[in-house]
Formats: sequence, C-alpha cells, structure tokens
Amino acid sequence: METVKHRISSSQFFIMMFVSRAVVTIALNARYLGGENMLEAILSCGLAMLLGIAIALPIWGLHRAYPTDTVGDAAQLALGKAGKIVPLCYILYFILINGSALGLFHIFLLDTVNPEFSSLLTITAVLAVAVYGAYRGIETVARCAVCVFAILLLSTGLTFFLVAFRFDPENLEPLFYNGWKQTFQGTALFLSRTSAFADMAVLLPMVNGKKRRSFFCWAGGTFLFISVLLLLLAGCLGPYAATQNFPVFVLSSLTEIRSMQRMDAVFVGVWMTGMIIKLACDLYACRVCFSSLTGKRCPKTALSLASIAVLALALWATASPEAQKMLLDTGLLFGATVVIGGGVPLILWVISRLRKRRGQ
Amino acid sequence: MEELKKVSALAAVNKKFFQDQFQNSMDFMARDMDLSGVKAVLFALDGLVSKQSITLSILNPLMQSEMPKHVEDRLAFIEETVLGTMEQKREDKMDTLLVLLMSGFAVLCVDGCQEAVVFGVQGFESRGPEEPQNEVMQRGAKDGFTESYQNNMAMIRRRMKTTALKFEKAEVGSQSRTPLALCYLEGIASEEILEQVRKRLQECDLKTALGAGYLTSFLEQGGMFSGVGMTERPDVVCGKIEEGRIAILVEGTPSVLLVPFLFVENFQTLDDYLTRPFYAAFVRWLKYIAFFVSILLSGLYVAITSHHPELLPESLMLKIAQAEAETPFPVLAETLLLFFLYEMLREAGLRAPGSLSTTVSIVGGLVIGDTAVSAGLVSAPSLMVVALTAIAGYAVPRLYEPLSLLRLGFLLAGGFFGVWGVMIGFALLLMDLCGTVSFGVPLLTPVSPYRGRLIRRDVAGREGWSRLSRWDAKVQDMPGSREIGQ
Repeated sequence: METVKHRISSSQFFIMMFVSRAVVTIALNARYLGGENMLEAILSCGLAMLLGIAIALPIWGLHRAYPTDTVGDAAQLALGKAGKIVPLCYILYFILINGSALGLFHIFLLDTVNPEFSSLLTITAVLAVAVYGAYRGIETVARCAVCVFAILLLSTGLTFFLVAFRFDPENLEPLFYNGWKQTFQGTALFLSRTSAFADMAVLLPMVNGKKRRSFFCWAGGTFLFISVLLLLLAGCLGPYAATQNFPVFVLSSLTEIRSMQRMDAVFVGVWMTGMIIKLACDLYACRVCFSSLTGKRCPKTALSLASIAVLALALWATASPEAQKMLLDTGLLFGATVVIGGGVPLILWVISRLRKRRGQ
Repeated sequence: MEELKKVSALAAVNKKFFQDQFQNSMDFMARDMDLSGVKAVLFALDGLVSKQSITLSILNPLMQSEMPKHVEDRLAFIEETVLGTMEQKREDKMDTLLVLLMSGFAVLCVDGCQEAVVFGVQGFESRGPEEPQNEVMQRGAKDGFTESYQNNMAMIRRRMKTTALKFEKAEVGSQSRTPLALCYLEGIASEEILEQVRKRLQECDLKTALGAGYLTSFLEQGGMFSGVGMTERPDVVCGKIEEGRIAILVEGTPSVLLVPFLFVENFQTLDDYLTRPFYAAFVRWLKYIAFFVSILLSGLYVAITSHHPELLPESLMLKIAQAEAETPFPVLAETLLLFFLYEMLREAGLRAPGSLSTTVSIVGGLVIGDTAVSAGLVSAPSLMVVALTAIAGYAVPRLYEPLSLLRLGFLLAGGFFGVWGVMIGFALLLMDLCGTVSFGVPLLTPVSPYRGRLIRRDVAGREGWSRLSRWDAKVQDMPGSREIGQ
C-alpha cells in the first residue's frame, strides 16, 4: 500500500471540494430539480447540506479509527482480502459520477453553445488536462484549485453583481405551491451531484489542519453560494428559468459591462477550469484506490484507463435519451452517492468499533 | 610513462611526464634550474600565470638560495624560507598536479623529493566588473559579476562581512573540471537543501560545463517555469542568500545560479527595494499585468475576433472587421506570421554584429511596421496586438523564454478552440506551475499555498524597510515547503 503522508491543508482540500461542487451546480435546471420554483431549490440545498453533514459522520468516524489509511486500506484492514471490493467500488463510482458530470458539460456544449469547433475535442482536452493534474499529484490539484477558486469567486461575484440590477421581486413565486415533492427531489439532486463524500473517504488521510472546521465552512459556503445563485435565477429570470436547459448560462448572458456585452464565453471558460479541478481531484482519488487495490503505486496506464472510461461514459450520456436518463437523472447517482459516500464508511466504522470492543 | 601516478624523485622523470601530457601544446612551459647543485624544474602554462609573479616570487628567491644537503629538508626550506607566495601547497598525485597546472598554478619539482610544491600565481586576463546588460537597475550598484568566480566571491564578500558567509568548493565536468563555489549563509540556509544541491552537483554527469546554464537542468525539476534563478548582480545574490537561498558561482560565466527560486521572484528587482514601497507595489502590479498581456493577449485577440465577436463592443468589433476585410489571410494565420517575423527579427537583432543589428532593427521595423500594413498583407490591429505582447514580455525579462513559447501556444489554442481553448491552456499552465517544486518549496508559494501576510509583503506590494528588516524570511519556511524527497 502507498504510504499516506499529510500533503495538503484542510483549507486547500475543502476549497477543492467547493470548486468541484460549485461547477456541477452551474448545470442546475428545472427538469432535474423536479419543479419550476427556483426559490424552493434553496430549501433543498439547505436540506442537502444538513443531510450531507449526516452522511459525512461515518466518514469522520472511520477517519478517527484509521487516521492514516484511505477507505480502501481501512476496508482491507477491517475485512481482510474481501475488503478489496471497496476500492473497486470507489473507482467505479468515481468513473460514474465524473462521466455524468462530463456528459452534462458535453450536452451543454452541443445544445446551448453549439461551437464551431469539435465539442468532443474540447471535452477530451479538458479531460487530458485533468489527467495531467491527477498524474502530478494531489498537491498540484489542490494548489491549482485555490487559484481557480479565486478566479471563480471573482467571475461569479462580478456576474452576480451585474445581474443583481435585474433582480425583480415580482419574479419570485410562493413556496410549496405544488407541495413538498420538488424540495425532496431537489435535495436528492444536490446530494447526487457531489462526489465530495467519496473524496473525503479516500483523501482525508492526506489532509492536515483543522479538518472539521474547514468541513463546516465548506458546507456553509457551498450553501451560501448556491442559494445566492438560485435567488438570482429566480429573481432575474422568473418563469423563463424553468424553460431553459442551462439557466445559469442564460443568467450569465444577461451581464453587460458598459459596452462589453455577453460574458457567457468567459463564464463557460471558468466552468471548464472548475470542471478540470473536479475531474483531476476524482481521478487522483481513483489513483489512490488503484494503489489500495493492488498494493503498489498506481501505474500510469490505470489512470489513463479510468479517464478513457470517464470519456466513454460522457459520450454515451450524450448518445441517447435513455442513457441520459440513467446517468444524469437523480436516481442512480443519488443511490450511489449515499451508499459509497455514507453507507460503506458506516459499515467499516461499525466493524472497526466492534473489533475494538472485542479487543482485536 | 603515462602510468606515472605519483611524483617521481627525479625532476627529469617528472618533466618527461608533463611533456608527454602536453605534447604539441605550445603554452606548456618547463624551466630547468640548478639550485646550488640540485636539479629542479618549474612547470606552468603560458597565459594562465603571471610571469612577473613567477620571476619575483619564485625564480629570483630560488636562484639566490642555498639548498640544504638533506633531501628531506629541501621542500620545507623552499616553502618556509625561500618563497613568498601566499597560496602554496604540496602535492604528490600527478592527476591533481595536471588539474592545478591547467588552473593557473605553477608546479616545482625538485630532485630527491617525492612531492611537488604548487604555487598560486594565476595571472590570466579577465574582464573588469561592468554593469550587467541583462539586469539594468535604476538605483542599484553598477558592478556585475565577471567570468572569474574568485573575483565574484570577493564581490559578495565585500558586501557581506560576516563569518557565516561560506564558499564551498566543488567541481563539475569530467573533461573541463570546471570549478564552482556554493555560496550560502551558515545557519540561515537549510542544511537539507544544501545537501540536496551538493548531491545533484555530484551526480551531474557533464563532460564540459561552459556556462551556469549547463547545470540548471540538473537542479530543476522540469516544468515550464524554472525553479533555478540566474543573476549577474552581486547585490541580488547577497539579498537572496540572506533569505536562505544558495548561490552557485561557476568559473567562466558571469551568471550565478540561485536555488530555490520562486515564481514571484521573476517579478522582483532590486530597484523595488530601493524605491518607495507604494511605487514598488505599483511597478510590480504593472509587471503582473504585462505578464498576462504577454501570454494571453494575442491568443484572446484571435479567439475573440475569430469565434466570439459578441464579446467585443460593437464599435471596436466593426473597426477590427473593417481592417481584417482588407487582408488576404485569416486572423490566426496573420497573427502567427507576425509572431514568427517578430521572433526572427529579435533573434537576428540579437545575434547580428553590433553595427548590423541597428540596420536589422530599422529594416525589420519598416518592413513589418509600415510596408506590410500599407500593402494590405496584415491588418494594423493584429500588428498592434503582436507588438504589444512582445513589449509586455520585456517587462519581465527573466521570463522571456517561456513567455514567447506560451504566447505561441495560447495563439494556437485561441485560434482553434476560441476563448475555451485559452482557458484550457491556462488551466494546463496553472497545473504545471502548481505542480513544480524547487528543492521542496512550491514554485507558486505564497500565492498557492496561500499565506496572506507574505502576499502583502512579496507579491501584492512591499513593506517599508523599517518593517522588512524585522522579518525573518527564510525561503525554506515558505508555506507548503516540505522535506525534500517526500
């Protein structure tokens, strides 16, 4: 097994998680949220935050029991050879969730932007940069995430500021007009679109510093960011937001700085850099899981294979409506996130507690 | 004779050995002497030694002396009583004597003695200290390093009168045996980094080292931006070693290497620390802007005009479209053409003999700047953008090499993939920059890993000397620094 050393600070790690979460949230729409009321999605986001804290509890417990071991290594310590299935599950999960995220981005390129150049080549280039980052290591990705975080905050801050002038309270709709269904579906969506819990399970042993404090800052900060975004979506676009596949992009198209019009290309660029961080972080986590699985340093080919699988999944997601339904809708991803993010660490934690009680 | 490893007791045998080694070399000199009945030979290489010093300090006293009868007393007598040179030692290995001869020492072999006496009588011509052309300062000292590393050591010592200042001798190049000195402040420089530098220099398998640049690839980790700095200014070296860095002075080159070297240091000059803090901060920000302009402007220009014209204000878009309509090439081809023309002219201006370089610049300026536009081959906005990026690159001269390549990369990325291509390229550059480490210190620190106080001090601005002097800013303590090899 690869010896795990403290490599990045807790603030770097959770900034990386924030960027990963924020870029996926940019692809929110009424279809996935299960209703047209964007304001209700703020409640969903809050609920998702609370549930997320609950899901993370077993991860913290497991991390306390095995402070220097990743979830894959901890599984093998707790379950013996049978524990090898855990890193394998994590690898498959990371491929699935990143394939879904990249697929969503590909659909966005094809449907909304329709560029003159090949979108396939664009997403391949995005993935290639992410693989390069994952290959260079978690320190590289974390440092880069801090820079992207600054760019993201500046650009979204500017966008939020500029569109805020178009905010009209009359666009806001009453809450729970169609019952609670949308709130729950939204909650499931917010939870399903994040791989932060799986990342925590794999990468927390490489993090030092005040982890819990950073975790709560991350949860609160993400909630705040998404809430402001949703509020602006609801207040600036009104019912028009519900008709758009990518309302956040439409919102960014409204920005004007005097004679500088349509900053949407810049917005897409920022999204793309955020996407690179998310992919790089998850691919690095894949690399760590590969090491847990084989007991050796992860070969470059394994990382390349994982990235090819992500690309294939992303292309498949755009190929047919059935594939889209399976990969992009909440059901599968929500289930996988809860099981991988919370379920597996919970089982391992319980086993470790039982073993400790028996004095093993 | 070639297998002679140690000095022979017969001066004639030693003479034969040296003559064989320097066969066909007209600079080899051997002076036979009869010192009151004892045969002796003095060896030296013409041009490397001062003949006046040899005559006054070695030959004259030797000729006038009375040699002791006992063989074992001869060398001690010569060393202690007869000769007046400051630098002298005994040596019995022929290999070492050869190296010393080629380093400007004179070697004296005396009959009956199985050791030779070596005298430091170097007297080769060297250039005097001049202001470095590549690092011109407004308010700094006007002297720069020369090709002699011993003179360079003296220049540093004159500025740092402390016993903590150490110069450690080393050698690189199996053929050239180029001497170098590691310069650092004991107690300030990290022992671990120092050990790593020594190790890397020892492992350096060069045949010849004709410049400091030969060593950089052995000291840096790779990546677009180097983690090894270079300067020709003694005052800069003093400032850097005070912060725990290690300077490597290589014989035969006025450029001194500095490790570890951070990315932000490319934007710092000594002038920043000699002017008022607020002005220094302003100049630094100008350099950061120039850096981004230099790498991104041409790429963004091509990306926006070719793929996202909606990003531009209408009036500007129309003006550019009007100019482009009159030229035969697409914007990307036109900008690429101008880019390569500019780089060619720059190289020609740099390499052409002094008298011709002005002609090259004038002809180039006229051809590109005026004729190409008036002939309708290139548009004025494209020309302006390429010229601006080139000028901006000179605001950060240390980064000119990576900047020109990055400019080309972003130009192609923008031309083929629009603003997104530029963003992908930027992300790749960021990854590369964030992943590069110079002797355990991240290249991008203190920006990422972030340390607000250091950013205020070193990146965003500069504190006044009343505050700066209280800082204990060692490079190995920068955020993100870790044990080497971890």
